Amino acid sequence: MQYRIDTDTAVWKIIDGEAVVVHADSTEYFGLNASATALWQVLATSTPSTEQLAELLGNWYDREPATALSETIAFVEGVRDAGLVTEITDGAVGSDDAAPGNVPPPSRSGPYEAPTVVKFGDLDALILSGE
Amino acid sequence: MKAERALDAARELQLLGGERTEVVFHGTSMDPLLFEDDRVLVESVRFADIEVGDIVTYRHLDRYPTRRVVAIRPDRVTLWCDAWPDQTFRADPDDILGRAVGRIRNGYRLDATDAEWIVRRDRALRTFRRTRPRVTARRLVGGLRRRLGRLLGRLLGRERWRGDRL
Repeated sequence: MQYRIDTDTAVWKIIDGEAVVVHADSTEYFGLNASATALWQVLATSTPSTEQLAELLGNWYDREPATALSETIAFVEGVRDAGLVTEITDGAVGSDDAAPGNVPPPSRSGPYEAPTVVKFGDLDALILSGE
Repeated sequence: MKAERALDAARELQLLGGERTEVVFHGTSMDPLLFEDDRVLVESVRFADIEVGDIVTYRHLDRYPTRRVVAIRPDRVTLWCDAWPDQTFRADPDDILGRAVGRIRNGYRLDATDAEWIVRRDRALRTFRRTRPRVTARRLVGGLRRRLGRLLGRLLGRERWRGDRL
């Protein structure tokens, strides 16, 4: 199974190596830690499978393949359940869908943490100040 | 990431996430074009595309003021509120988040290209240009007064000092 970011609903910004992602329809917003952000950036430029993401994670952070795979599965399930990525079935992979290339390792600024996506909350209606 | 920082980032994304976002206006500063509870359509804009007369939303602390552009310089824009002729505001180009391109009130939509919007824009700019010299003169007088006061204070202080020496 391959995945891609649902760009119709997910908008994001990366601050100091960590992404904040807003679900445009539900107005929920999420935080991704550094390793999750690195995987997210791969998802932003390609349509990788869980195994491909796990391989990258293992290479970047010297993780055992089995550990990297289980951590990646948990991450992918998290962003999928949040409605931020969509699954692409084998038959639906188009010519624009690419496997991740030789992705350089992300810069590291602290100890490794397994990739996680955390829901911070829901955004209220935005109010423009005219006071 | 701290929750507060994430919230700030998420709010900006909420405003700029789509090409055009509908947001609620609060306050009286842009009467009569924008009222309390109007829905304002804001779209992201490049600094180079902003023109005098546009209404822009910008970041100021944790708020998103929405005001009319009355002057543009490479390093800042000067903003003004249609209903507050005596005040101007400044914003850095980096803080400008979007431009108001329409308003929805009571189900009726008014676009920035509609005659009513343009008439109000032109009227606001004429008012700004008419009141600006008065405001500038008042500021100049205030500034001169303050400088004169400081100068007098310094002179008097010096005289006192000289007197002490004598």
